[in-house]
Amino acid sequence: MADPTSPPGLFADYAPPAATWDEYVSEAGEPHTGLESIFETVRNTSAEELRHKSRLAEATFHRGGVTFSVYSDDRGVEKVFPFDLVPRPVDAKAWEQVEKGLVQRVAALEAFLADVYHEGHAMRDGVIPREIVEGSAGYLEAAKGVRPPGGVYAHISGIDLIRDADGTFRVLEDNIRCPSGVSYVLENRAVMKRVYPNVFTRSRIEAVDQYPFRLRDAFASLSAKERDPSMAILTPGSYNSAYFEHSYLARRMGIPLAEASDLYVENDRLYLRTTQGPRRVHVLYRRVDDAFIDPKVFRSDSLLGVPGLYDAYRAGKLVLANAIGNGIADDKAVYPFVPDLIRYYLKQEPILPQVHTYVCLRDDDREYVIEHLDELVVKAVDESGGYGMLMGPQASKAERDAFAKAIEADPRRYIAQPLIELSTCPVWDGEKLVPRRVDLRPFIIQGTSIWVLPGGLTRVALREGSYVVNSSQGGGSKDTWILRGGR
Amino acid sequence: MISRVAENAFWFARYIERVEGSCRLISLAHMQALDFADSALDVWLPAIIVSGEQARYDEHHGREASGDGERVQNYLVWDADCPVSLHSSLANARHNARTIREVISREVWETINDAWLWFSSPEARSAFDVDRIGFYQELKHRMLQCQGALASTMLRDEALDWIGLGMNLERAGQTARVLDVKHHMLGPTDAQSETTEETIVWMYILLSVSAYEGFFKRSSRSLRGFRVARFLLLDVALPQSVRRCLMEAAQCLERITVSPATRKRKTSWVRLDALRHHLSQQSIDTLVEAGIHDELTRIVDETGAICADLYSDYFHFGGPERETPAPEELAAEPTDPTPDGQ
Repeated sequence: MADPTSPPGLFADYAPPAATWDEYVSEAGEPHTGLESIFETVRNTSAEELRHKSRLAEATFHRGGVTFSVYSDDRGVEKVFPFDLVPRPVDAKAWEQVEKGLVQRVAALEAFLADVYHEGHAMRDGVIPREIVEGSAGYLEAAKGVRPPGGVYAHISGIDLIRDADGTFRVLEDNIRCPSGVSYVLENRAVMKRVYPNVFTRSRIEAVDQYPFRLRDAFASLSAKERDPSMAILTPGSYNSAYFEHSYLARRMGIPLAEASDLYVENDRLYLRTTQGPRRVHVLYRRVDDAFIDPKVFRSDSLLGVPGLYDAYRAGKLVLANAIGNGIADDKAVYPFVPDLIRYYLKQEPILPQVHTYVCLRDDDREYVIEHLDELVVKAVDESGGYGMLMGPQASKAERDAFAKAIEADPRRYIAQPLIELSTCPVWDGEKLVPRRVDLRPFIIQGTSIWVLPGGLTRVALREGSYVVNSSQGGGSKDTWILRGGR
Repeated sequence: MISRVAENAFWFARYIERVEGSCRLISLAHMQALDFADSALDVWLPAIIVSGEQARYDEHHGREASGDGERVQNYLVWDADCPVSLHSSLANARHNARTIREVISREVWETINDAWLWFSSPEARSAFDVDRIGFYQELKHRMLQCQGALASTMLRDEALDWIGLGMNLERAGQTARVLDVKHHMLGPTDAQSETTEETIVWMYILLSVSAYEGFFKRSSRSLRGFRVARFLLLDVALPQSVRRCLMEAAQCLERITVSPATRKRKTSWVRLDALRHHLSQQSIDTLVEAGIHDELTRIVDETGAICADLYSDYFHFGGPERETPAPEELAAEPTDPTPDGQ
């Protein structure tokens, strides 16, 4: 514990669980090296002050309309993404490694996508089984042999990281299709500046505001043929849960926000319906999944997509971000092979480790998984958002038996991982600081080069003992502070 | 700009204007009822008629309830089933703003969102209960704040022109409707003086379009019905006058479609241009002579027709037919803004 003679401060009764890394303090309760100043700031904030700041933050989010729509229960309800005021710091040295590792990983996944839809070297050379790739729901025939205009598949990636008991960052999951959440990174920061103005002047924290124009520049760089490329964002509309983000990015990037019915394709060219007549679109940042993007090629019942969009893409007349077919690269069944893909394509050792994963398609792995269901986390490869998974240690026997059956019936569909003790970070519960588990989603932009946003979305499981950080299941978010080093 | 966005900007402005206009109208009726306690029907029925809600109100509450000020106010303020209630208009304004956030300034968004959050709060409900006039004032101020934010923080580009167009067309219609309710009181301009009660009615008409002080600034002559009508219809110095609104609306449309040749092919423009020319050639005498009710009806109908023409001219034209997804399909999405992850 800290010096008993100093005022106890907010960390007085703070006790992270055993065998778990805490983002602020060591087991002895001392702040980690490099975080002393932030630790002091948080510790010396009074409870009254935090209560006041919490109210201020909540009001600011409501006022700004930083909300997401929830339509499952009551139509038209908008909720504020729960936000916790205690920042999640990452020291400069740790971040430097993370940054390098992310650039490497995105480069490998990019190479994998290009390979999978063209030559297929990795499968031929036995780096990844053909049935894993071709059996994936994310593997699209329509993407085969098509070079994405601009030459890039993964324009925007969100790679989910967790920190294990030693404090080592590990990749938990890749999101290479339409990763969301970056608007919360930017808005959380704006709110933090309002409620903690003094801390920002004292601490050296990496800025995040450059993201929107970085993205814009990346898009422009890929449409090099056009001197002044016309861009647009495609949203499913204001009823979509992530609508705030779509609208936010459009505003911050200064480009139009279109719904499917605002767009049409003629002669393989995409047009916006404007008050001045049709206007050509060269780059489309789509926030609609592959399956819905073009009813002529994919789901024919979809009205979220634009008929003919795929033709424009294939004809090289339209840069689509992200490209079509990326689902194969973030398939949970492909994930276990990513370290080998890094070695294969880049001839490098992976910088960021990941979580050991059992592939149920492999006989040995499957046997082990079924034997050890009470220790493992099992995930269906085609589900997300915390759905389709079994938290073995907490599940009932009936739940485990049901999963065992499902795994035997369709082994390709399941992977399993040991339960990782996600790191904890202090959270203000209204009375005191309590340790809650967090992950981190950094965002990576790829145009002609790869750039990592120095920050990311820290998601936090607000319920005591919970490992699930998804907001649909009681998760919230925090501002992530990447501390500037001596660089 | 995207046609749908232009349409939403146009409607956003109309709703804002409608909230402000209705708010003023209802609060004035409320104050007027305090002056004419024995003839509540004469006060509240016009408020219902100007809102265009007579049929629906009769159906839901019965004609005899038109004199029940509390019922009328509850209907015109809070009833979500009344399409022009303050509740509905404000909700629509806020919803439209949310769908065009990329083209409105942060300040505009915050004022309208704040207004909506306030209106939906218990605080607003209790203000309505204990300080009715204060409630209306607060809402009116919030709408003026929003208009101020529009005027001072928006980029001078097409979005603002659509907003200006919507605001001015809505306002022109509103002024004409307010005047039309009392058109039968307009005698020949050379008639003898009006009764005190009539004068008070004209005063309330001026107040309900926020033109009271302006009227006395513009003329030292006594308050008479035809002078009020002239002021509200023809005086370009008054921002609420029909002539001024049409002039501003035309300027917006001129900036939206710069080429005069292209403009001439748009029915909305041809109609607007004709209407404003017609009004600019009129005096109050010719209007009264021609039948003021017919003239006012023409203004209301034509502004409505212009709005309809904008659809084919700007909002729904170009490219193949388009389908709009049902809200169910749009909503069939995860409710998690950051899906995936352990």
